Amino acid sequence: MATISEMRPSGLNIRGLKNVPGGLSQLPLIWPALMILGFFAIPLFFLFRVSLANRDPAVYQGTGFSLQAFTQLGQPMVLNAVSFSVMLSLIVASISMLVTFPATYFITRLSRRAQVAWLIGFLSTLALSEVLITFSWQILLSKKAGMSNVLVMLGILDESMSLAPSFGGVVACIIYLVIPFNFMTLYPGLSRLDTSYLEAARTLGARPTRAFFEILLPLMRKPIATAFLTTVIMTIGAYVAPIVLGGPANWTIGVVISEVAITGQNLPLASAIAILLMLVTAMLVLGINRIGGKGYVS
Amino acid sequence: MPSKILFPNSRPRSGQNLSRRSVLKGMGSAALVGSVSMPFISRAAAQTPLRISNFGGFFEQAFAEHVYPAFTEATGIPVQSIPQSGGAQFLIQLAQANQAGAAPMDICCAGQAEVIRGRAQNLWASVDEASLPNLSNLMTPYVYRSDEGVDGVGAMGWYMTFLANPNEFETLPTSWKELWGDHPGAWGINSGGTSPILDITAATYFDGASTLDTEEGCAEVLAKIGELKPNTRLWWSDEGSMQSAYQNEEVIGGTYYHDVAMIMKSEGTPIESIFPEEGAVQGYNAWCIPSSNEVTDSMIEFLNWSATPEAHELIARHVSAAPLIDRSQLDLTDEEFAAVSSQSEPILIASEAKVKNADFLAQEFIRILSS
Repeated sequence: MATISEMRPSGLNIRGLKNVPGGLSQLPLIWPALMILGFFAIPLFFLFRVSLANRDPAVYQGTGFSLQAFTQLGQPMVLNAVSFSVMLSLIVASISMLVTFPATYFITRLSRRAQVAWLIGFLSTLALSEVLITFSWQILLSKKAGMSNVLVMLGILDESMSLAPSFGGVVACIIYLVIPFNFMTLYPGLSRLDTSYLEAARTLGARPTRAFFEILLPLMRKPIATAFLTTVIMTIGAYVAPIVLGGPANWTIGVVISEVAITGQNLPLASAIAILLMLVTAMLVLGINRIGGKGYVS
Repeated sequence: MPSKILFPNSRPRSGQNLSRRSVLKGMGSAALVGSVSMPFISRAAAQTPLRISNFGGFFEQAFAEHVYPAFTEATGIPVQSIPQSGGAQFLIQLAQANQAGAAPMDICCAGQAEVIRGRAQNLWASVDEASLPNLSNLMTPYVYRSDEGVDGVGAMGWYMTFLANPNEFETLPTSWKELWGDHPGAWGINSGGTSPILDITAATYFDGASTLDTEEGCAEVLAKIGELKPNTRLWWSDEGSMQSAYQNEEVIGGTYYHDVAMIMKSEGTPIESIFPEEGAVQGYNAWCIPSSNEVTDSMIEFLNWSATPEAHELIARHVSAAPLIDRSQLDLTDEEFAAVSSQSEPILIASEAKVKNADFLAQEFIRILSS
């Protein structure tokens, strides 16, 4: 990782502002700084503030100061949901990587035209609402209209069955939702990949599988780690798919937060759980980043 | 995020049910109807319509088209119909607007829990009961009284009944106890810490609402609900999920809304909506005045008119909601009445107790179901 001093621009290279001395060069940063303050820092501050309040039936966001909400974080409801969410996100990220990485690799080997078609295809699924997709999956997994009927027609199943609510249904739907993001993260790296490395491996007698595992994967370690991380972060806060396609055993921490905040009207506890979720996510980010390392920079 | 998923028990029917029911064309702008000149009321009053909000989608449109025009005709007061969200989210937004002194409506439609929670936040204005003579029409539980007067007038009711697919039963269930019978994976049951299954369980196996008044009682009820886990395939939180699971034959029954079940039945779905011997669950919404408003004669006039048989007949016919006035006072055919209501003794939702123990119920419900 770059240190702070490395990251700070010594003289901005924006045309016309080049080498403007002192404070003036920092001027364009005021706008993004204000935006970050307004849309990130201040809401985050309120989240912390509410998590430190007492629950009060007369005031939704609570009143006073106490650590009461944080002392409730140890209960099984919270811990089970957090560990389930972490497990779900790691499973989803792993499977989606197994699907998306080879798919993206093959797409980058196609003609330019075909690549554009695939890109547009993936991007257009992003325009669909998450809710719409989830309810479509509900139909797809149902007994009467779902895909188990296709399996019956093919003679694989004896009779159609309902595939939701189930853990598999939740995983399948979330994978569908994250694949376009994984594709977009992996695509730039894979399409700019210097194929001469793979050619050299082949010339030296490496079989394609060996070249894949020993050349391609290590080269792409960083993009893979980034895509994996994105998926984990997106999945850990999943809400719609678990509540529509899952049973109570598949409820994520997002579902718990909404139940506590809305049904239980306990915003301080909901905020404290959200802070716990942030900490868990931050730890995952650090861990996965460490595995991803600096990667290959061409 | 869709409000119907987030706020399960608010019953703001939108989308799905709009297409299910007859599509209501046009915005039913009651304000236009009301702007016809009315010589007997002051010009100012005629020009400022009463802003009344109801759950956006089907409800808001049905009220605007069929109910408010009758009020305007009876009193000369024009109405501007405003869509609102439902449930806890609605209360949070309204509380903030109210605090700023600018509630976006004069009268809103609140659920039972919202009336009680709102009262704790000083969100509702109270009206002197003497100015609302028609309240005597409403059956007893449907008027909310604070220390200062009436702060909620029963608007419309809904029933949650025992749904069963007649093709799957030799004899249809007659008691809620059948939910705990030998029916593995059979049911779809409303989940969440405010679910009517709490009231059903408390009424069937315990002392009803009083059991839910204490945390110990709630814990006993929840433990009994935990015994439903093997029988329950779907713990639903939005009515669309249950409807689709039932129509796809994934569940053969469970707890569901009577009025939607009757519409499904009229469209040919094999379905029975059963009022069990312990009673079906009845909930109701109430008209409330946000306290940042100065209470005007028009508002009082509406609250008073809303408790007339005429208003409840219109609501039963056009909004598919249960009337809160005794059957004998209503001019409804048997069919019209049965489509939305029943004369059997209902299980009333223990909203005070459930609000008091909301935090405990929400957390324990999750713990018991997911453990």
